[in-house]
Amino acid sequence: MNTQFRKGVIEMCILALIDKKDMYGYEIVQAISRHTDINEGTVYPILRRLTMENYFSTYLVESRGGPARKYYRISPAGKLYLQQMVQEWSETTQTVESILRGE
Amino acid sequence: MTKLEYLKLLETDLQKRLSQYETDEIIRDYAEYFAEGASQGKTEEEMINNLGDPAVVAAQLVEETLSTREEVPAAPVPTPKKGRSPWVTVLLVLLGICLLPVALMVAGGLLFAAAVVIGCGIFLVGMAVAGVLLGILGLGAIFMYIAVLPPAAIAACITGCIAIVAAGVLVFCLSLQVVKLIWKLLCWCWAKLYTAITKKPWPAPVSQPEVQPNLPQSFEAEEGENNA
Repeated sequence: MNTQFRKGVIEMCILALIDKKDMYGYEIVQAISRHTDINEGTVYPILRRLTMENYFSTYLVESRGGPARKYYRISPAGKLYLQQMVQEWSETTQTVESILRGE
Repeated sequence: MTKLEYLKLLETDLQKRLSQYETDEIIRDYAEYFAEGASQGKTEEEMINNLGDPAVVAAQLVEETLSTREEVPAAPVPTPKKGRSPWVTVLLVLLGICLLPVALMVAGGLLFAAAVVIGCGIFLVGMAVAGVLLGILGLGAIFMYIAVLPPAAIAACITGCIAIVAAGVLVFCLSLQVVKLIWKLLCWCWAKLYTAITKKPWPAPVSQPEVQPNLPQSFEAEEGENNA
């Protein structure tokens, strides 16, 4: 699959996951990689960009016997962006499905 | 490759393109990943495999970080193209807010100048009236005392009256000088203010323009007649 397209889909999945509850990096990576065969290292760059674009805010939570966990929380701008992405996604899949069905 | 080697490779690649702060931040995230994975019972080898080639990861991190950096300043540019009028309005409002103190300052200055001029005028008129009254009083006194008093007293009186009149005239002239001085000060202040705001020197003192326009006008008039 096209990497740019893949990146967009992963971005939407990350937003959708964090929209449900605040999550820390490793948790997000596991949730994504459970369903796909992506390199886990590529989740962090996307997380980082979405944070820099103010779709997420982050906060550190001390964890026992290890470095603090960086939690990601979705911002109102992030929620709006996710909404737009989901909207576009459903429109695109509908179009693609109708083409595939030969309508 | 060990976890530390992986992090070191990542760090070296990131440092080439990103700031130390950004690099540290990213390395912290990956160190957290390794710590979490270890607590889940994963081996370093396994985690390094899952993360993928550090060069690829670093390239992606640099790309994503730089892309947001470019987007941030670029974002405000397309917006004015779509709807220019609201931005112009905002700009005008901002300009208005910026100019408000200047306007207030000028208004305040003008009010102050007016107050000073009016005050001086009242002072001047008051002094003139006082001088004249003193003069009348002095003269009146001369005529009043001639009939009653001995010559010596009259002489003293006359001297006193002249002194009073002289004092009146003196005060009148002095007040004129004070008004002139204040006027000069106001002109000087205005010139300074004008130069400070417009960066241009304020043209000749106020008294000169009254004289100058007459000359060119008469020349023009003569020329006009000659041409005709």
